[in-house]
Amino acid sequence: MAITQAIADSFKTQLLQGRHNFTVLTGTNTVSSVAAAGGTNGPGGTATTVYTGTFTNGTADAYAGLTLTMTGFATAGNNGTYLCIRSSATTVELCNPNGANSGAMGTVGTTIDVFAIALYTSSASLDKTTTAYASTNEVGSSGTYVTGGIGPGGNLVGNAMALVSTTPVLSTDTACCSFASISWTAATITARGALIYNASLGAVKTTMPAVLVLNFTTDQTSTAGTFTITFPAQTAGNAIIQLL
Amino acid sequence: MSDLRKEISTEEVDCGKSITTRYFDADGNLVRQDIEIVVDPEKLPKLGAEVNF
Repeated sequence: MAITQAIADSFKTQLLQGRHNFTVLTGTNTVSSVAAAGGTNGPGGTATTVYTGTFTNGTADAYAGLTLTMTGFATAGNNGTYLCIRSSATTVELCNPNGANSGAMGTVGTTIDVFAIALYTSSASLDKTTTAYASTNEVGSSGTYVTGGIGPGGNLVGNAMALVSTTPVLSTDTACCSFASISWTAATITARGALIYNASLGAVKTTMPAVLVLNFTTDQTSTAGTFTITFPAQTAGNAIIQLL
Repeated sequence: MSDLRKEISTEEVDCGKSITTRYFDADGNLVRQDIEIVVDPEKLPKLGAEVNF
């Protein structure tokens, strides 16, 4: 068993097939009110939260399947990153089981595709031939790390594994993508490597395509602490994914 | 955390650098260990592109 750092060969092909989209939503995306969580539309019959406002390009469930990030709401339960299961020009319904009709409104941020990351033990085999996320030899849930955090069958638990991407930019003839750093707190984790994958269709398809493999070389351990992965700047020669 | 002794160590790894921060209590017991993996683009594979007309 070994983890070999690589861009997944399948990802290269899929780029030309338009299967991966790193851009962010356009148009106005604002919230004017939040309904208390309710119903059973969420994963495993859990409650969802409807946010009302203006979502210019959200008509006809255009945002369904995307992950929206809510921040800055005065009520903590309205903040977080959640799968959108329905949308219109005036509402989005998110798999947030803790939404509340209280407090000042915040803002909406989102990416088109949802990219996620999973950590693996030294028993994992990951390399350029890896085509999709698998839970085999993934590290166990600990702290805010959630095994299979975004997975087939709608196994969504706070989207703890979602990476926040930014719209690709051109830097000196090089197209560059970037992810924000990700941290899991209060976590006891021993990991040898990581897989970044596209989780956008995780709730409705059985495979989530691999993007790239990171090799930590040796076991990296957090103990009741914070496990962080910091990604490089979105510039030529630096970006985590760049097309030369 | 201010009453804990802190030790920081770094390690070169395939994808960049690993920074380990350990916190010890007065008896020398490890009470917390943080890890930061800093991805170094110089160590990552690149996607090249060439178009033949």
